[in-house]
Amino acid sequence: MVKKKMYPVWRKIKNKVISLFFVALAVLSLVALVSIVGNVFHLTVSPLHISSCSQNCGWISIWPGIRALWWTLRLLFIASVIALPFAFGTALFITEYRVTYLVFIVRLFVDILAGIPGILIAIVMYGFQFIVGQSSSNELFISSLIIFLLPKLAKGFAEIFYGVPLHYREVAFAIGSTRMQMVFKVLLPMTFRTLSASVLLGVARTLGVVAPLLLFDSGIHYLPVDIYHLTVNGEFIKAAMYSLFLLFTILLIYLFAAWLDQEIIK
Amino acid sequence: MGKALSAIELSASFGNHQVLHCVSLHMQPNYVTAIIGPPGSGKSTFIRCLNRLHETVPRATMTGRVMLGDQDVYQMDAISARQKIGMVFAQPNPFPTMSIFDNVAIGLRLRDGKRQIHLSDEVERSLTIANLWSEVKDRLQESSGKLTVGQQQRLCMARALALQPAVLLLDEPASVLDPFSTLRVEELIDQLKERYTIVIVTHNLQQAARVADRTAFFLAGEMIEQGTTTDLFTTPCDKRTEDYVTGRFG
Amino acid sequence: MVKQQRNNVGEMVFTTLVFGSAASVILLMGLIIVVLLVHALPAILRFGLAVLWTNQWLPIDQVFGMWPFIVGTVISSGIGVLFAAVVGTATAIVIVRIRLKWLRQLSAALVQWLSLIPSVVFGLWGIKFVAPILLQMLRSAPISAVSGSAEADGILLAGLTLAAMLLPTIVTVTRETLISVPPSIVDGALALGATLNEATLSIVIPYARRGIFSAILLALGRALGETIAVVMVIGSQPQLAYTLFTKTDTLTSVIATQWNHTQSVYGQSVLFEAGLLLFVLTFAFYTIARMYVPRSVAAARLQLW
Ligand SMILES: Nc1ncnc2c1ncn2[C@@H]1O[C@H](COP(=O)(O)OP(=O)(O)OP(=O)(O)O)[C@@H](O)[C@H]1O
Ligand SMILES: [Mg+2]
Repeated sequence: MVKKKMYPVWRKIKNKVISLFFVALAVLSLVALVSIVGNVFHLTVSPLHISSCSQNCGWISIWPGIRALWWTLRLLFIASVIALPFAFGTALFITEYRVTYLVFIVRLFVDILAGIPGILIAIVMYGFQFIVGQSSSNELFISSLIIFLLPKLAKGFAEIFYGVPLHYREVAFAIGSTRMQMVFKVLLPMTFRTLSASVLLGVARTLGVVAPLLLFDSGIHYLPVDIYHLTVNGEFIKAAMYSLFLLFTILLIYLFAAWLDQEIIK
Repeated sequence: MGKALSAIELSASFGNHQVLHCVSLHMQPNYVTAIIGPPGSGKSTFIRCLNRLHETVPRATMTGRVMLGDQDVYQMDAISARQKIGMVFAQPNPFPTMSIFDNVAIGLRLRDGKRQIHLSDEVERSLTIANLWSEVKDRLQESSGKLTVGQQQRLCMARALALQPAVLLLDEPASVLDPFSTLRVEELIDQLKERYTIVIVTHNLQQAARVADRTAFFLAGEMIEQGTTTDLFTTPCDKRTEDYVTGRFG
Repeated sequence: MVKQQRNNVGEMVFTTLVFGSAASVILLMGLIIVVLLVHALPAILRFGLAVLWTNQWLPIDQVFGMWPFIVGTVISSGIGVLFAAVVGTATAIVIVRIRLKWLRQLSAALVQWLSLIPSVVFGLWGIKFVAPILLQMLRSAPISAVSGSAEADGILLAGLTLAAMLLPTIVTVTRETLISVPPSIVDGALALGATLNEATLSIVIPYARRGIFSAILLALGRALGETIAVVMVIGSQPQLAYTLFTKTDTLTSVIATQWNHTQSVYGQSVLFEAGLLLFVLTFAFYTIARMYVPRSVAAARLQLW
């Protein structure tokens, strides 16, 4: 009987504890995530506090970073322009055609390729180069990026196409349009914003990859790879500054994508 | 036994959008009070204020008092207030991840702790009152999602009844049901009023006429008129009420 | 007539594109398998399957065992996913509950941005932020089990770094599934006198369990394949991890770190074999995982795979 009287009190305590637990974990993750950005900031500005360093020593080394960013974006642009039609075609093949054995296999392969570790792409490119002979590192870089980007984009596109209810397509087919007309008149207009946001975010994600490019030591600068080498060599300040460029670029791309497709944050 | 429930000068808003304007309504014990009115007139908001569900909506505010018997609902703990004032929603919402038994038992488990001796008796009692026992007694451990919509709605009633509340709020309990299930729910309401004070929101005027002792008419967040059901339907005082009950309304 | 002609050409180009892309995907897969097999073949023929359970990695003596790396992969991903799942789910719950609309959206946007952050940045964070804290804690802790380790590098640090990396992914996908829980069943629970926490634990989470599970699988896939963030913090020693602070390697990081140090004949071939193993694991993982992952629009938009 006493226990029964006590139960509401105990329940209240339990409730408080659970709330506290949730909030504590949320604060923990906030701290973790903010400290990631904060860490980069802190490292970048830390030389400015050291009096022995003259005012502009932080600023002189900005240019290599910006140049590397420019190169990075150029390589990435070429890679995504090539990957885009293939990803688009693959997604259409997966979603818009009658499910046959072939479609099933392609879908499975896309799923797997989208999740393949970057380092595997690197060794495959390396090994491939052995088989067919030396090619320029520019091409190697771009092909690695394409292999990384293509399946991810294809999978994303396919998911987005799946999200379009079937009856929209049926309406188009019912008035006698071909598959291509259906794709260009119904599917694309309906999903255009989501698709472009998805491409942008895929590019943003690829902007940060290191692993697929890690094994070629070449004269080409790809910003994240540079950051990696700088960090391994202990040049943390420079690495942090480059990371800041990277974070900032990704933020810009994200904001643009979020503006394109406001559903993202709902 | 039911207790009287009265709302005194209730006003409610969502953000800046005021939905209820100073509504006062007395719901007598062991009576069925129906609330009728066109869509968007604030009926749901009103009964959600009665059991303090309104305050769980972000940016929702309200003023006024709600008295259960001689206690102020808003002075009580929100949890115990909701335990005393049960509610059934328009859309049958049994917990899809739980079995039929757990659906009825969860209220008791939450209130009195996990280990209880008479739990299965209580569940049987509530299901029997809700006229569902004979249909589900062999499948108590099945998922509640397997029931028909009508059975789900009666399960929701059983779930609310298990806590033995003083008041039962029904927000359009029959709006998604077929005529047969509707009839069964109405019969159930008739049986229940011996034990509970019942407030029912409905769009169906015949339904209000069939089940309710008293009826209140809401329009645009104000209570236009209330009275016994017969009076309200046959000799309404207000022109707008007359228009609505005779079907001449917009 | 002319229009018809043009249409046909367009149709042909379109069909070629679609089938060509599909063919290219299959070709790509074939290429990966062939290249890995060709280069791994010498090592496979020489060492057989024994590399899987051999415990040592001594390139000079021609002894190659991947067991330490398999263990390293499993443990570091396990730590990462465990932390990220618990913290991330709680965070998603809190974000969904925030009552101020702008703050709710801002936090969601922040998390999504962070889910795009490259792994190098997480590695940098692990080295310069977590490692000093861990070291501080190590020094002040009166345990002898980890005595002597003057560095924080090791499998725990790798796990924590992975956890931070996976956190945004889990929060984003879990948040999406939590939002899609019908509010009516939450109302139902509240109307029965449940507190919000009780409603969350007994109604919302069971309802959203598939979505949460798929978020965890997604995160696990990324953890298993992550190279860079791990390389930067794991210490890179080819040895079995006995304590949480042992420097070890994972299957991915060993390829990156041993690549340029392969003096022996079979060194590179063995690394290709490790790659092949990784590939087989990835293949198996995604073949199974895709059956349990419901469609996630958030993941599709953010390219979270
Ligand atoms: N969660 C909410 N946020 C903002 N406004 C709301 C919310 N719920 C209801 N409203 C607004 O409150 C007003 C009254 O809604 P309420 O649901 O009380 O009407 P109702 O009479 O129950 O209508 P119906 O007959 O359609 O159920 C409507 O104008 C509606 O737009
Ligand atoms: Mg309503």
